[in-house]
Amino acid sequence: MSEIQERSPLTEAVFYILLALLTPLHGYGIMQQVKEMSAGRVSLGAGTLYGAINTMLERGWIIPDDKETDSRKKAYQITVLGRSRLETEMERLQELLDQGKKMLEGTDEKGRL
Amino acid sequence: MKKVVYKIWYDYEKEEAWLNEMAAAGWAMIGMFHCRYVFEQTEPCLYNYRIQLLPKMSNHPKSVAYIEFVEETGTKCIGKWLKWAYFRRLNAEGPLEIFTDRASQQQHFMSVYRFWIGMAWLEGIIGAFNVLVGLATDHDESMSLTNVFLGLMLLLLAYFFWRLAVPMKQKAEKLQRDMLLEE
Repeated sequence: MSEIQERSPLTEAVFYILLALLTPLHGYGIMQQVKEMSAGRVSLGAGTLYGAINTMLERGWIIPDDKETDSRKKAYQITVLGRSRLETEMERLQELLDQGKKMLEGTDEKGRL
Repeated sequence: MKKVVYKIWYDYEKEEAWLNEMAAAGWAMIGMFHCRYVFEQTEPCLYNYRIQLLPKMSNHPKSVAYIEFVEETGTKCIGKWLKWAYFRRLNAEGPLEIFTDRASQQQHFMSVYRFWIGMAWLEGIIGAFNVLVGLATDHDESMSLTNVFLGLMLLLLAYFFWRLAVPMKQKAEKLQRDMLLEE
């Protein structure tokens, strides 16, 4: 079960949320940061974000940030585990990119070798 | 200026579309209770509305925590009814989408499906029971007739709820198939 968890692709939203949480952020901050990082392409709905945050808390990929200045807004931060999960994911993405470039190079516009 | 509209909605997507139509015409919903909606006159297209079925009743601590989270993102919860939450956001701040990936959308459709199918089962079982009781007892004709009639009405209600549930499941299944390819 954990084998699957460690090897399967992260969703784009989760990847970007983890990246954003390299610095402590609260919900709205995460939304804005992800939107900025993806040049407006990835937008996070509050419902989707809330579910993702809770699942990532369960997995230990993020933790609540206790040094909050504004006690009403809960902020979160990535953990060492979350960071290593990000690194694993980037290796996977690099593999995909490398394979894609290699295979497409020798083909014409119609996709034939 | 305010106005009150009474309308019974069963399809939350249609209800959402109606709230957005009203908002586009300059009537923003500011509160609701059962089938009673209160609108306030504003400039046209000021607000964007979304309705969500929460996992728990809207006054449950988990629901309260979730609503608090949503409000921190600039979206306001303008109404609560049973497990339903009504959200709105200023159009100027961008479109309001609570769920932005297929997985969470599919989950929401399935929770609405389970809600209606649960109601269908409830009415169906009570209805069937009434019909059987009505058919079985023959010492009081008028009572048994009432039972059968009542039972049939409830079975009709069950069928109505089932008809509401099915499209939700179909939408969830379509998203499920799409997710084989894309998030």
